[in-house]
Order: sequence, then C-alpha cells, then structure tokens
Amino acid sequence: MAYEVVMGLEVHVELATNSKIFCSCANDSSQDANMNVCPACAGMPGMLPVVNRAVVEKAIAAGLVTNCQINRVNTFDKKNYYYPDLSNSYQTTQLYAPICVEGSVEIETSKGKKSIGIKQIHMEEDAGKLLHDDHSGISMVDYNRCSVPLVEIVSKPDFRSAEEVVAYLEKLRSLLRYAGVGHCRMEKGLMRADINISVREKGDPKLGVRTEIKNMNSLTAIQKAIAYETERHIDAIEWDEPLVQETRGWDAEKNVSFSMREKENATDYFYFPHPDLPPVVIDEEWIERVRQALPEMPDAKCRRYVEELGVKEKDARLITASPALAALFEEAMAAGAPAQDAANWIVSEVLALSKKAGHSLDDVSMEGAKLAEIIRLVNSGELTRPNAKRLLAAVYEENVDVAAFIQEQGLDQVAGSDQVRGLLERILEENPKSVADFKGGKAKALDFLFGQAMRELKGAGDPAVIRQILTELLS
Amino acid sequence: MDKKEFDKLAAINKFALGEEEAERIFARLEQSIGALAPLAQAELGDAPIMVYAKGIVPVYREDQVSQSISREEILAGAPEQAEHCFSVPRVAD
Amino acid sequence: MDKSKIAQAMAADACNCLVNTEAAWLEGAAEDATALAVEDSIIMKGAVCAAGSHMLYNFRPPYQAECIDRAEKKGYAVVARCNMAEFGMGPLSSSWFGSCTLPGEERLSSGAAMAVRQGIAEAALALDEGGAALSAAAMGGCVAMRPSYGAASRYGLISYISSTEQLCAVAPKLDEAAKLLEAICGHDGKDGTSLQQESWELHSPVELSGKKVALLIPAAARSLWEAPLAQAALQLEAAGLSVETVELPYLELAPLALQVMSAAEGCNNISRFDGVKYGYRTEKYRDIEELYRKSRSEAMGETAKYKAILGTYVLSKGRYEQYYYKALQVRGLIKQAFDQLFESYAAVLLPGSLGMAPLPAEAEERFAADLALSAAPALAGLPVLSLPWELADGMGALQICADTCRDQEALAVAKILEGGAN
Repeated sequence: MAYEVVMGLEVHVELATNSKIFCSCANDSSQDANMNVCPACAGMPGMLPVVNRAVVEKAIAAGLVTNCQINRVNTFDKKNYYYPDLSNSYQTTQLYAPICVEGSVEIETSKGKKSIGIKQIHMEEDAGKLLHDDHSGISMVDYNRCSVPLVEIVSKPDFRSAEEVVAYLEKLRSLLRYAGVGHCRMEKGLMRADINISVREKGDPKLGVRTEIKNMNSLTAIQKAIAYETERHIDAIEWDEPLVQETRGWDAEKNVSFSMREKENATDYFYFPHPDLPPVVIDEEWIERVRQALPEMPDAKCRRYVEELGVKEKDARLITASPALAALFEEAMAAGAPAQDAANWIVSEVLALSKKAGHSLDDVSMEGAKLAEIIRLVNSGELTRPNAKRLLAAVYEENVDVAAFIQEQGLDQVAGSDQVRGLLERILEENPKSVADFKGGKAKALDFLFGQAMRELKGAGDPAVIRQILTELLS
Repeated sequence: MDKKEFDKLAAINKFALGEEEAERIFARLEQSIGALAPLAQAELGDAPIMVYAKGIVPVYREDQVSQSISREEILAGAPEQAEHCFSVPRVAD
Repeated sequence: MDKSKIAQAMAADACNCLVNTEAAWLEGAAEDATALAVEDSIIMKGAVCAAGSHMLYNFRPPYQAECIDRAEKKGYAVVARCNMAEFGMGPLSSSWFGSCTLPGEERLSSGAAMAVRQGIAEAALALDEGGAALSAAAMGGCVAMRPSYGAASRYGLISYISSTEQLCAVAPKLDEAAKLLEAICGHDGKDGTSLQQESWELHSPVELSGKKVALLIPAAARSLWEAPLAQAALQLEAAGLSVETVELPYLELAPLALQVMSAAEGCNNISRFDGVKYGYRTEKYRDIEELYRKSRSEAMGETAKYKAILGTYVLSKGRYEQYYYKALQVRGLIKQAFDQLFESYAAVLLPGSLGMAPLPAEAEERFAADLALSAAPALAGLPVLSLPWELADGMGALQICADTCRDQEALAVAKILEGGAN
C-alpha cells in the first residue's frame, strides 16, 4: 500500500512595525511583563481600535511578494472565545474579506521546482502570553504581545513532503525579510507554523482525516513532527483504528505529538463583522507605492549575481537567501571587491564565523568595505591567507580597524623580505645539529627548523615561501 | 432551541445558571426566537448588508509609539496579581 | 450653578437616580460651570464606572471618555453619575443599584432624566441604545436629542450595541440639549466610526415653510397615538408645514433586526468581563473555568445572560445566515427606505413609547414594545429628538427624526412642537 501525505500550512508572522495593530503601544513583547500595555489591549471597555497604517502596508507587501491579488476593500471580523491570554475575549481577524488572496511561492527541492499555492493572507492580532508557575499553581498573564500585528499566510494543501515544507518556510522567510514585513526569527517565535496533515492512499482523490500540529517554530522539529504524524496516521489506517480530527501539539523532548483540543472547524467562534473598524480601502496608488518601495527580491537578485556578475549559482543561492548576507556582498562589491572573491570569502569564511558564534545568517553584520579591504590585501600579496582569516575573525567579532589590527599584530611582514631571510639564517646558525641532521638525510629536521621559524615569526609570513627559503639556505 | 443547545450556549458564555433562573431565561429565549421567525423566514434575496452607518470612511493611525498609561494603572484593578501580571489558576497547556 | 441647591437636590433624591457619585465633584466644580450628569456607562477617569452592573462595581478606569473632556472644555462640570439598566440591555429595573423611578413613585425612569428633573444637573448625557434612553427621558418629562450616528465620539463609552448606539443629551429644554451636543459632537480620530464633520452647528436656521413632515404610525401604536399625533400635525401645519401619513417598507422587521444585532454585539461587548483583569471576581474557584463561570454568573443580571445566550444563538454556525446576516440586510433596506422618504420629507414624526413610564410588573414587556417603535431610526443611524407628549393616560415619548447629518432639521421641527404637549 503506497501512501501520500497531504499538508497545508498556516504561517503566523509578526509584523515589524513600531506600534501594535489597533493601539499605540510599542510592538515589543520582549519587555518586562505588561510594560507595553494600554487599556485597549488590556481588554478594558470603552476603548476603540484604529488600524495602524503600517500594518496594512506590510500586509500589502506580503501579498505582492507572494504574487497575491490584493483585495481593494477588506474588512475585519471578531472571532469569539474565552482564554486568559485574550484580553477582550475575542480576536480581531479577517474572515469574510481578507486583504490578499490567490498567490503562490516558488520552491526548489531535490525533486525540482514546484509552486505552492497561497489561499489567502489576512491581518490579525496576536494574543498575550501565559507564564505558568506550577509551584504556586497559578498562571500569570502578560498582555505585552496582545494586539501585536500579525499576518496569517494560509497555503493550499499542496505539500507532499517535509522537504517541501522546509523549503517553503525558508523561502517565505527570505521573501518576507527582504520585503521588510517581519524579522521572521522562528526561534524567537516571530514566525510560527500550524501544519494541517492528512494521509491517503496514493491515487485516492479524497483527503484523509486531518489533524493540525500547532505553533511549530523550529524547522528541525517540523521535520520530526511531520515524520511522526505521518506514521501515526498510516498506523491508524493500517490497523483500522479511528483517527480523530483534532489539534495536536508537539512535545520536543519526547518527540511525540499530543492531543490538544478538537480541531478548529469543529469549534464555533461566532464570527461577525467588527462594527468599530471601518473597511480598509486600498487604491492602485497605494499598492504602487508599496511595490516601488520593495527592494530587489532574492530570486531576481540571485539571477543577477549569476548572469551579470558571474557568481557561481550555488554561492549566489546561499548569499541571496539572507538579506544580511546579500547586503554584505553588495557593500563589499561597491567598495571594489571582485564578485567571485567576495562570494568565496562570504560563503566559506564569513559563514563559518557566524556558525561558530552561533549566529543565524540574518545576524551577520559586518562592514562590507572592510571585507573588500581584506580581499584587496590578500590579492595583492600584502597579507597572507592565514593572516587575512585572523583579521576577518577580528573584524567579525569586534569590528576592529583593519590598518590598526595589522600593525598591532605585525601581520604586515611580507614573506621573502630581507628581515625574514636574516631570521632564517640565524635559526640555522642556532641549530647546527638540525642542519647537520638534514644534510645527513633526516628530512624531519627541516620540519623542526620550520617549526622554529614559524614560532619566531608568530605566524606571519607565507609558510610555503618560508619552507622554500629554508630549503634554499640548506642546500 | 432545545434544552441541550441552551445548556451548551450557556456554558460557552461561561454561565452556570441556577435551575429557576435557567427556566426563566429559557422561556424568554423560546419566546424571542419565536418572535424572530418573520426575520428568519423573510425573503430578502441579495439585498446588500449594511454594516456601517453612512459617512463612515477608512481611518488609519500613524505607526508611532505612545504610552499614556503606566503598568501600575493597568494592574490597579486586578483582582489578583503576581509579578506584574494578572493572576489566574494554572491553565492547562 | 447653584451648588447648595444641587447638594440639597442630591440629598433629597426621590428616584434612586444617582450611582457612584462623589461629593468632591460638586465641591470642586466652578461656580460658573454648567452642572452635568453622566450615565454610569460614560467613563470618567478615577471614578467607579459600573454601567449599572455588579460586574464592574469597583472598576475605576485610568482614562476618560472623549465627550467628558469636550464638555469640560465648553464649560460643563460633571457633578453626578446616573443609574441605568445593566449595560443598557434591559428595562430600567435591571440595574444592580436598584430601579430608578419617577420621583416618589414606582414607575420606572432613567437616571439621566431624573437627575435633570430633580435639579441635580442642568443637563445630562446618556448612551442611547436603540431609542431607550430617548423615550425614558421623555416619559420622565425631559427632552432628549441623539445626533446622527458618528457625530459624537464613542471613545470611552461602555458599549452595548456598537453599530447603532450614540450619546444623547437630556435636558429640560431643546436649546440646552442642543448646546450640550454642540459641545461634544465633532470628528474624533480615536473613534473609527466617527464622522468627518468637525463641528456641528445645530442651531443654524432652517427654512421650514412649505416643507413636508411624514407621520409614521406602526399598527401596534395606532389606538394610543392616532389622536395625539393628529394634534402634533395641527401644530406643525399652523407653523406652515404640511403633514402626511406614510408607510415605511420593512418597518415591521426593524425591531427584529435590532433584537438580533443587539444580542450579538451585546454578548460580545460583555464577554471581556471575565473576572481576570478588573471588576468582580468570585471568591472561591478551583480552576479558570470556575473563575469565569462563577464570576459572570454571580455578578451579571438575568437580562444580560439572556442577551448573551441569544447573541451566541444568532451567530452560531448555520444560524448566522438566517438571523445576523438578514438583520444586516434589513438594516440596509430600512436605510434605503428612509433615504427615499427624506427625498420628499424634511422630517418624520413617530411614536416613541407605547404609553407612559411603565410599572415594574410590565417593565420587560414595555421595554421590548417601546424599542420596537424606535428601532427603525436607530438602525438607520438617524438623528432623533424625543419630546414629552401627553397621551390619554400619561406622558409618552414623541420622536422626531431627520436624514443623517440633517440634525438641524429635526431640531427645528421639534422646536415647533416643544412645550405643546397638550
């Protein structure tokens, strides 16, 4: 029996605005509890919502970069349920007329290119946070995150593998970061995915029972959860056991999914149009303004790097995946670095440094001009590769001044100068036994002398050249 | 509305009604729903809905932060608080 | 204001019209300010604002309603807060603070009207829900004026029917009511449903001669109101207007639509009162469910519970299209019908109450019946004036309404009738 897994994603993205969606509190849920809260987002009566213009613009931007149609008139609705993190006992969202519909995102996996359909994008507000204190048996409610603006991006059920899901999330994150819609830091909860998953026999047109795994914010966990849940569904089918349509959570420690509550569309949320919020009306000019303000998108950028700058496709893909890396590359080029050199240094050295520091690609922030300078010094032979790497690390970690660092660390001793030659001659004089050993046939003696030389030179100087000079002097 | 649905809706609204109270409210509801029948059965075709009064235009707020009320004022009326948060019994995950 | 007279009137209150009122307000008010009373749903910073409910018995908001700020700027000073139905949802007997009645009687009245009538305030602000505050004022011997929907900011009002409610001014005379409205009306950027118009000159002269006024008498009100309205018509004709009886299509569906919308929106507006953040919280609870259930059940009245359950009923899956969607359609049809009417008529006269101020025993029945009369103009967002008008057995409420943003017309017609309650 061959099975096919069918998945759809609902991705919640926190928008990178200054203030919340309906009030002027700061959009910053990392602050001390309840510091960014006002009577409106704390659920007090008499407060009226007014839409943050920037939220609409970022939602339009999200729609543009995912090829959606923008609904010129869109409205807000109330979704009603009780939970302590929902200060008004309703969430304002868009059900009847969302801001964007019918889009697509192109992804690429080991099986080739594929287009994932977007059903809709809508604006909504986030809820607050609960901090549990099991010792005292209470939950503490923090409304900092209440009313933080979100867009929810709903895909069509076009996914057939975990690989596709991961590719989609990475692509979506890249597009949204470029467009300035959100920071999309999954590990910080700024982008969360709900995965709707069902399994059916290959060829069966009907969809199987659907379960939803909520609030996933790690790509690794998502892969594990999809694998686990798929197997759970298949087991149920094969053993003829009932599969409940429900919402499940993922236990990252035990690596299992667990039942949470009955799936959304079994619950009634008593939606109705929000009487306090007038419709959002978007004209062509507004859309055009947002479109003009968009930067070059990753796909177009990648193509340009490959076709116009001659960068290797693999490198271009890596660099354009993150706006921070692309910015570094372009800054370095603007400061005179040759394209492929800049690409090489970023892909091999900079990425290694960021990995070592535990940074994400989006955290890379180095001055491109300094990278360009390092490349220039290496290409002209003024700096050896090992020294250049040391310098790069120092610039990456501490943003040192290039010239100053070179001077302080004495990196500017050029291999093959008279100074070096003199030093090598002295080493030979101080180690007559090794010289004799070498001349007597012990090749290892050269290594010893070489080691001495490198120690004295403190790593400055090109090793290959030093070996060469030593060999020359010994013959 | 039957009694089962009444009980369900009362629970959804987070009400725990006493027996007599429930009977009285249920009777009122039965009456109201009966009285609403002409609306439920009215043939209105595709007459457009009116959600907003005439003259309402889109309104937006500029994306600026302004904090007028302190955390103390927000928490001042809290029946129970802990560590600058509103406090409720431990909620199940 | 005469502070000692007001203090005496407060002490002598024979209506139970005052709630959560602090003596310091009267003491601190400027002598040349106009004494203002506000209903308990209008938020005043630092005062207890309970909207007639036990649920908010200790709620002191750290912010203030826009209307109070504006009234204060124009020389009003709040001296009292007034009793009202719980959340505005039912008959006046549903207040947790006890019924407000006519002076020394058991017939029900509104806190705002009685504060004015007893001389505690020179004018009052109430939040009119579907016409209830207007008719209560008139049955209590005061005039009341509600502007076009969106004219007065709803910022800082404890809401019930968000889509149709609007502040109304209650006063002894129309000029005073209009003056108060002029002080508070005007665009407010904090309210998304606020009309763009910045200032409202309600006293602007209106040329009425030769104009027509429509008389709209629903079947249920015919026997009681035919003669009294005929008198009103005579007065208008004497002033140079012509009066014609009209029909309004879908009129009988208006109260049903208002019932549905009020239940849905009301249910939603009180769902934030859950015992978590402020207000009443039950004493003993084992978990969050108990906290919610006991707090809300103990502190909310029967009418509020009934409304909330009805609200979820009309919004539930499968019922939404039958009830709520249709209610919104009816609203559109009513508005359209009024639009057509106002092409030929400057104003519409209609009964606002099915009798005089009700006895407690008939409170529920009369509340619903009176709302049925005032539902249509409320749904359409029209400006409405309410005048005391003598009926066979006592003082009833007469409504005069005009097209949206034609508040001056309604006022001008009302002024012709003012004082002509006989």
